[in-house]
Amino acid sequence: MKFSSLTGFSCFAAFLSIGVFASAMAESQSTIAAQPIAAQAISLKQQQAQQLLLQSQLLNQQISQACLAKPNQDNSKRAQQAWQNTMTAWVPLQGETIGPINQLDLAWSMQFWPDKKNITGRKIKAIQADDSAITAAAIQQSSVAVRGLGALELLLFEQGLNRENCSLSQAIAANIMLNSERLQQAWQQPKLSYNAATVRSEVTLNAEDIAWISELSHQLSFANKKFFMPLGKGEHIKPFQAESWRSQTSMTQLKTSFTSLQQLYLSGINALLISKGHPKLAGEIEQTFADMLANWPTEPSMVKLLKSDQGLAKLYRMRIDVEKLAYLIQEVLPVKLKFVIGFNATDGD
Amino acid sequence: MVTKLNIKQIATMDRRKFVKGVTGLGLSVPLGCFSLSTAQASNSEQPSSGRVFSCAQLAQRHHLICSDLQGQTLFNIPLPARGHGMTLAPNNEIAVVFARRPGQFMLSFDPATGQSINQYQMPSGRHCFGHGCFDNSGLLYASQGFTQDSAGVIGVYDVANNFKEVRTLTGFGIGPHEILFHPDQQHLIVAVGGIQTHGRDKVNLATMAPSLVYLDKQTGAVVQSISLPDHLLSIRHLAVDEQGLVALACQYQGDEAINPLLYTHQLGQTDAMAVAGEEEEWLRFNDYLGSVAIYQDQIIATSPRGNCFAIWHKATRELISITPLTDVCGAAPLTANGFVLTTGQGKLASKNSAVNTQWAWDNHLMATDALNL
Repeated sequence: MKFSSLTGFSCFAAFLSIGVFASAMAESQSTIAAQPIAAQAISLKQQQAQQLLLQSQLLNQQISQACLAKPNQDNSKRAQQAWQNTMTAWVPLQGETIGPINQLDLAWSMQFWPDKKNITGRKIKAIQADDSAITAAAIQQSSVAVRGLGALELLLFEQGLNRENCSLSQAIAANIMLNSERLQQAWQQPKLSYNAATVRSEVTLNAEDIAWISELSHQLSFANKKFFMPLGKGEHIKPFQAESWRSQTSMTQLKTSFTSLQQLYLSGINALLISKGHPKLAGEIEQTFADMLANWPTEPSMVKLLKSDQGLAKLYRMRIDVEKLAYLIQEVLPVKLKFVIGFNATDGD
Repeated sequence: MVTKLNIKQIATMDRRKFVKGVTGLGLSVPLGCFSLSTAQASNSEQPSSGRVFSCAQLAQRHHLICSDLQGQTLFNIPLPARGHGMTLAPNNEIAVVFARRPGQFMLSFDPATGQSINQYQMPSGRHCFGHGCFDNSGLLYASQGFTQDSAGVIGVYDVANNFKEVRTLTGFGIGPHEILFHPDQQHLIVAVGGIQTHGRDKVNLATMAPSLVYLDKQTGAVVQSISLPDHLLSIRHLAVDEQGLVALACQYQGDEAINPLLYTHQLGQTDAMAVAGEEEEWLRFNDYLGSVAIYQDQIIATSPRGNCFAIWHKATRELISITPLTDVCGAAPLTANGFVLTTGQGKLASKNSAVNTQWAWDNHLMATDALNL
């Protein structure tokens, strides 16, 4: 049978996923429960996905009720709080490469960030200039910049919930809830494909261990990006690159990131390090997490910190811990355990 | 047939993306995907012949690996340091792997057996930029730089004669990266990255001047030089088809603009043309395309930082699809059997299979159809 190259591309992509799912089924059924890191990490991810679903349902409900009753100061505030709770529930899933966010390609549909050129603002404006009906189904076919939490943040915090933006807010909230349902359902029966059929380390780490240690590194990279992008290069700070600048909660969300990374680390990775003869490194990583979170600035807005000398000093103080954590997890740990965290994503040539 | 159970799930999941792809090309509703997927699942029962060559890491050590498309390692050559690109001589009897920038070795090997043949150490003051290619007479052209100022130099070698350097080509720019031969075999196509480095530190971003350069292979004269609209777009990687259409993949060195990262050009055309993409889609690639390949009417580019790869239609330059794949970078076409992708997390994916291996695949790969060279 001869296939056209046109149809070949899509089936290549499909086959890629098929391979993932097919090999995953056998592996997940036979090995996940037996692996301490994988079992603990998956349990953590299931809890996080459940929490996201719950919060996104409440957000959807709050906005629907507010719009039904007519938006006012009180119900708008409640909608804002529900958005913050949903965002806080989403943050622990950011930067995941294992699991349904990647398999279903949902990351940017949930949150379009970084948004270098205010694409969200421009595309929301274009949608609002168009009189046609807006539904969750229509949002799913729109630009990723208007499908998720960033777009809803603009509507709730910059514009404020009102009669004019109610239908768009409802459509986006419904889309967030639908995607959260897909994530939660997928995590209930994880079909995970670990990346090696054989041992990839000289210190008897199995593929699942390596995959979850690597995942800690990937998610740490995402959190670090949230920290470093607004700091900019040299003297040029970029406050609008902060994750949640419209709601002025970027520091709160960033703290959630590091707290959830700490949880993932403590879900078996630290114990593995100790068991492999590296208690000092295990303790250093644990202590760095603890120090960073204990010294976290109380100001929820990164923009406010960036715009004052005192605030900048706090961020520069934090940078020491952020860089130390990255060094310990991404540089020292793989050398100690003699394995390679995927590297193409971080050091292209 | 485990795969059959999952085909419908995947086909359904990717249906919208698929519709976007074919409607973008003005074709009718893609009902064929289901049956085609099933047919391909059947195909997967008959392993495709072919082999891939790629640098890789395992347990913090560097290797050159040859694998079949099912992920079975056929041979493994330990490398003295991290390798990068590789190239195959026209007689298929010798291949060369290049050290990663700013590396110091070129190593020739038998691509059929994996036997190392000869290792060349760069002379003082010169370093490898990681890529090279053979001309049809069997001379090797290697992308290199003078270490002091990163000025580009193409070293031309008789590999079989103990890597005897027969001439050098210079004066075309700073920081060449990938080089390929034009199908006319007279012109060497050079991705001039434009970046001066000390070690791997970039020192001239404000003044960098990347270009796509066509050199006369005999004289080294610059036959044509093309610049892109933004001087911060460093041209890094290339693919060329049988008609001389060149695909240029870039890395954006700034942080203000959102630029297309993939262009096409043919010798003689005034400008390179950007392929299609929305701002959101270019943002997804996180300023960097790591490899580019041409397979029939498709251009495939990988985005390791965006954890995805994308496919464009070569003639229309329409974006067909973007597919997530964590830590992907290597991409290479087979002659008639699709293309191959590799990831730093060990995956080796081709049209008929996606397998996990023990190797952390490095940036680039070379693929051949014949299992036995």
